[in-house]
Amino acid sequence: MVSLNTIILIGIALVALLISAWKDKKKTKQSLKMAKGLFFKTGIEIVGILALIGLFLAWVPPHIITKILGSGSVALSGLLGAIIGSVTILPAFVAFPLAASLYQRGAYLIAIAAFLTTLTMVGFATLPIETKHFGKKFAYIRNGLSFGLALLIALGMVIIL
Amino acid sequence: MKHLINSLKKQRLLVIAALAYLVTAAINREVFIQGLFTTKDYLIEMLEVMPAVFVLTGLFNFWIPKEAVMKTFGSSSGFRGRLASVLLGSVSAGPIYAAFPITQALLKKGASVENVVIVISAWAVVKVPMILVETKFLGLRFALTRYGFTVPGILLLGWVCGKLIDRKEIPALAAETSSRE
Repeated sequence: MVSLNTIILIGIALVALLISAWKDKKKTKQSLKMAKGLFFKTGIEIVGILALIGLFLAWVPPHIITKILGSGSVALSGLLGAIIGSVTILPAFVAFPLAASLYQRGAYLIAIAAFLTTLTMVGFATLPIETKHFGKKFAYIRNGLSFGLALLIALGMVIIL
Repeated sequence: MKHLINSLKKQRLLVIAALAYLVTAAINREVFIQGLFTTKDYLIEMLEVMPAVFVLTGLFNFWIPKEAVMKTFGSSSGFRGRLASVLLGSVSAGPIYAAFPITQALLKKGASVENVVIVISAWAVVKVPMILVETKFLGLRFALTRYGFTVPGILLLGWVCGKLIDRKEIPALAAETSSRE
């Protein structure tokens, strides 16, 4: 299932590459060389991380996550939602149905909102890649603050909805 | 031998993953296979997005002048810079790790820390197709409320990160200026 955004992205990359090749062969070659280097350096690292997340989700499947989020007190479930969202990476087409099934089973809204927000914004698993690109300080501050922000967003949603 | 240990150290994550899979295979074959299947799905997603992202990063690096990036995303770009950052993040595709190469290139060419944080966060959260899926499953009210909080939240996050993190504290940036200038 290739999303429309992905198709557009690939299209833009192809068009940009063609224009570049037409205007300046040398620059295009240098660009492609850099792209190749990135693919092997960053790419291999990403493969390792994805393999670990895949294994994590095999040990702790989504239905167990559902169970954890639907139990306990309001505050605790919000915090748990934020934590689980931070350590996992789920594609949107898995995450939203999961959140919906939680909602229907009467899980707390705060947990669902916190889960969805940290899931995308906080990347505990991708922290090594972020650190490599921007350094420890940047990665830790951005992820730490995003975690706090997700809790605030969840709290705000509970007050409004 | 030393060479082997060094290259293993460099691929630490891959080694850890391989060991974790081996242990899992010994304990529970079903989980092992399930893990491989999930990883396969992730790899397909990655292969769809990353080559295009890397090619664009390369082209960006050699074609886009520093001045243009500074003007649009630099520290004096103001409200328009923030708006441009949210837009750039939200029209892009792929998971959050796809944002790092291109935002690092932006930063190297003079984008502010604040705007780079906004691009990364918007890249992760603000997506039109995702709003549609969220609306379908959780309702328009839920989706709109969450985005209503998230977009200002991202701007606030960018502002705070910009205040807390100095450009010089980012290693990739320090290496660049010392080696080229």
